[in-house]
Amino acid sequence: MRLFFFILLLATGSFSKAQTRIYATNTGQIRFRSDAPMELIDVNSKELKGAIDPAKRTFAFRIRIKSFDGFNSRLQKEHFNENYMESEKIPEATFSGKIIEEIDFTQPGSYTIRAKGILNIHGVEQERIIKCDVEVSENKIRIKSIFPVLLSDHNIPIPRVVKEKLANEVKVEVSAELLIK
Amino acid sequence: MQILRLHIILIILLQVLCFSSRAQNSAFYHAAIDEEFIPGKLNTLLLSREGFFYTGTQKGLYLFDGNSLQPCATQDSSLRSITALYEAKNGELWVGCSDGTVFRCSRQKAIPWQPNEGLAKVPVSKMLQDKLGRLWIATRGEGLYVYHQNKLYNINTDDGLSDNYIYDLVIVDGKIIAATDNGISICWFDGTRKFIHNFNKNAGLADNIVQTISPDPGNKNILWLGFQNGAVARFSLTNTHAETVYTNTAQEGQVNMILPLDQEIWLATNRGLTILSRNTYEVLQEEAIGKMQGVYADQEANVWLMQSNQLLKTKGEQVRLVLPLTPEENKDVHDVLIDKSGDYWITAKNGVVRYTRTGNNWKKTFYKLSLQQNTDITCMYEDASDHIWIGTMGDGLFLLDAITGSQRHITEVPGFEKASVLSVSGSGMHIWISGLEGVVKGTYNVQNTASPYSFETVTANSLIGSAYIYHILEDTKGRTWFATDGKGVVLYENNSFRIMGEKEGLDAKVIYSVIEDRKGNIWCSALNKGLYKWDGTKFLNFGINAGLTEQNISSLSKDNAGNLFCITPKTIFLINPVKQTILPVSDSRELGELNSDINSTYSNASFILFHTVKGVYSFHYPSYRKVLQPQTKITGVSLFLDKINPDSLQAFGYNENNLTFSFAGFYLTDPERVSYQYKLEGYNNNWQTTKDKFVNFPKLPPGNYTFRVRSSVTGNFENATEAVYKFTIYKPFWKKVWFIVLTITIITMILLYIIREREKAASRWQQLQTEKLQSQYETLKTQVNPHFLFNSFNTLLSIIDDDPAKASTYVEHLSDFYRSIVHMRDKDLISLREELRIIQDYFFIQKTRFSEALQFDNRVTEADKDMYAMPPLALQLLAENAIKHNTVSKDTPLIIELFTEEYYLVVKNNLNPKITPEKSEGLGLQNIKNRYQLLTGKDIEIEKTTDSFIVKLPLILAS
Repeated sequence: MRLFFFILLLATGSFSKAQTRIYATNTGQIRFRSDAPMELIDVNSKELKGAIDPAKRTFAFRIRIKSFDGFNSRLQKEHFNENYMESEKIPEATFSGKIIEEIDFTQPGSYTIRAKGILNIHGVEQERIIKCDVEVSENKIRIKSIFPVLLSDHNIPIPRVVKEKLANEVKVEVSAELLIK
Repeated sequence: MQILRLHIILIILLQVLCFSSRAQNSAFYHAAIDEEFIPGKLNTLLLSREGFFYTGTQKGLYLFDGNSLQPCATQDSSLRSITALYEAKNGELWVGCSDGTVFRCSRQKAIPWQPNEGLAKVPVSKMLQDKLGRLWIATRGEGLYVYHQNKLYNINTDDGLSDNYIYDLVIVDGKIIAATDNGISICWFDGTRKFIHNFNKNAGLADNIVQTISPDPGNKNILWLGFQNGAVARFSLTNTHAETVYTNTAQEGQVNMILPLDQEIWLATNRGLTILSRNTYEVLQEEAIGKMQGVYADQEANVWLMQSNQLLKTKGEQVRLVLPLTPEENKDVHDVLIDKSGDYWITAKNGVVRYTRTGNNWKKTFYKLSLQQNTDITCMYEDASDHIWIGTMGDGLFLLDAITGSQRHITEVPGFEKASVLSVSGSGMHIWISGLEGVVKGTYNVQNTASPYSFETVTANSLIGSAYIYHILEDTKGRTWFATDGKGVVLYENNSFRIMGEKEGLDAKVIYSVIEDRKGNIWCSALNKGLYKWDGTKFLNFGINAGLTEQNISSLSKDNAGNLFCITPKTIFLINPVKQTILPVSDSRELGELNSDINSTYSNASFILFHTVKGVYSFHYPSYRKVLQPQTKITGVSLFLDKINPDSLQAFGYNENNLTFSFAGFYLTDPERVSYQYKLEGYNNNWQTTKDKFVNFPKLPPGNYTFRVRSSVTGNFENATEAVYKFTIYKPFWKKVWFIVLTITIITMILLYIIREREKAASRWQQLQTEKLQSQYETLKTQVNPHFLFNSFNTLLSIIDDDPAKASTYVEHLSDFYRSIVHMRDKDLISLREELRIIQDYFFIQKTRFSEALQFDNRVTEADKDMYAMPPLALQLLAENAIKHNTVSKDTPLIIELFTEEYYLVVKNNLNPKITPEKSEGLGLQNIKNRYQLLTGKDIEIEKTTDSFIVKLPLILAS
């Protein structure tokens, strides 16, 4: 967490253009999809904040839970925020850690990397290694990743009544463009 | 040599080629324990030396006995999410937690391990001890720690470690190998110098993230590496070369654990379980059942699959459905075979079918036999020249060339063209065929390519004694054994037959199968009578008592490691020829109903092959399978239901006599099957059999005891492991020797004292009596002294005329005096007043004689006269002494004074001794002295001054 705030601090530009080049975004896209037999929930947010430090090969991302939209109904959104995610209590989900692959971020090109870190959803930490496609070009990095999240891993309760409406495995899709700060 | 007619028939081969994919094996695993019964989630397992699993969960440490999780005796609220377990050589359990803390657990409790240097605050991933006793701790994020000579050292990237995040750790030959996010690091020490060599993707590894390392059980220089990208590599420590043997392109296929076995390699991946062949690395089986965290083999060769929410149990590589068959294919299977190329053969309707495996698919080839009639195929046998012999019911023998597919009907054996063949077997260059027509022996001759076999009819039925021969065995000594229907076992040796029967201990007539064990013993199965073993002199029966719970054996089989098996329609039993135990190793619950055809199995591979309603199975007896009987352990001892530590407490007080022992026989394969026998030596020396896991002894008398418990899965306890607890219940203190001796001594002493006191009192009384008698005697002697009498009568004579009245008084006094003497003499004590009365009488008598020359001054008060007592006649004696020893005259009167002074009655007279002293024995005074001593314990005091003689008598209170 400390690392996360540190990087975020760097990312928000208070250090201006220092020796280290940090890539950051405030408008990353995140989408999640629960494909249950009875109901499909497919929501997204464009408020993914994050930063990558290529020199240290570290990264940090966070998303405000309430920023998700596109629910089937208002009631569904309410349930999502109040019953499952408890977003009043735990307003954010975060993912921060290190990049396994030694990529030269100064060389434009497409890479597949693995981001290893702590995924904190619903206040429950899980160590994850997540595959990610990275496109490096002049002054910006475009990232794209699809990964599954098991609700049971994060102690997100699924009431028996809605078992048919909410899948345990949720597909999360992230795409963001990080610009050099 | 008989000329054989050769007739080769080439048949158009009917080849039915079809590809079928493997059926899913639903009985392959089952949940041994599921979510509901797991506190938190499962993190790690450790097989203990005693044969159970230590189970590290998110909520503490548990013990798994194959059935359920039980809180460990070392359970402690401070034990949190457990991520690593290690059992040290001394039996101590080291427990690593997700917050970095480490505990050491002995039988009773968990003690936090706190080295001065402090531990990491990140999860512990692995703990191990090397040969030098150094403890190695791998952490997830802070590198490697080593505890050596009471110091904790940290080895991290600064020291050259590939990464600080360590997934796994192994120690091989003093080398410590860590799997990290950046390949593997091999660390070793040369004296005090430390070396670290790193290998990652650049060095040929399939991936940088190495999630697991497993040392190869057979070759210590081989490590198996599992990668995050799903690949598996074989890494050689000798040349540090990594060979990728398996890759998995599927996402989330990361390999979490590798278990290398005899013939297979099991992978726990994020998708589930993958089983690879050890030889070809091809995938034998895949179970996509969700993220598998671990795969562990126990000592019974079961393999346990750990997911976070359940523990699945499998038979490991022991049982494998090598060829799943449809019910249609299953119908006519009477025998199975695996040929030298590894293809499987089964008998079918009017022919045999060969299955060739290509990847995950099967190529199926049907060889139709040129049968004259519809009949059953009974048996198959592959000879030394790779030909398959096929026996039929009523259509003779066929020989099939597996390579060309050509077949021919055997016609060269006389009488066998239409024979019903029961068995074809062989050994080396010989082949033995038995049928209803008799027994034929074939000998292979390499030179004669046209007709390589020469046949001879071994015997007529009359010699063997039976037309029905189920099985023929040519043993390693060249003898031939026949399993007959009706004549028991027949041995053919040196051209003669020997019918073995009751004389040899074989009380069975129908024998189905004969087999030879490693030691050269012959085993045979009899119809409904179990097994018999021939040890060279006699047959020994093995039935229910030996653990063979079913008697209807259909086949005996042997793998090429020499393990013997017998098969019934329900169970496969393993026969241990050395320990003579029979243990069920698999049954129809997991295999399906077994084929009950006689001798329908295949022997002589690294496994045995048999047939069930599901298809063709193999059973492999793994080299690492160590336990045939459960490991027995005393899990707890309770005193009045309170747990005690049996390691430290082995002696109890006389009232601590209610003991409960709990025990367990760890047999993970089938915990329900375990039964126990216990005995408490010193209480009851007979074994008691029970299914309970505890026994209570409520009122044990004092004594020395040995509690023994053993367990068995077969009900046969002969080779069972035993657990022992010795203890003593002390006698109560009043039953101890020292106490008894002490008590007797004290009582004796008291008795002695009382006796002595009594004796003392008695002797004193005796003495008193003597003294009294003495005194009486003295007194009488004096008074009856003729001198006294003479004096008295003289006095009386002188006054009788002058004063008859006085004479009369005088006589009265004299008579009173004598009466008193007579009266008082028996008494011990008389009052002072009585004594004074006597003395007054006495003085009256003496005064009459001496007149004024004798004066008596009695100053004793009236009160004292009644208050005190004294021995009778003591004063009289003293007065008499005074008169006796002194001159009594008018000039020198004798004045006798009597008075009390403090505690004494004082008798004092002035001294005026006679010139010629009166002869005296001094008895009178001595007598008084003795009497006072006896009565009061005090001495009388005698003072003699120049002018007076004083005797002080102690005053005695009148009672």
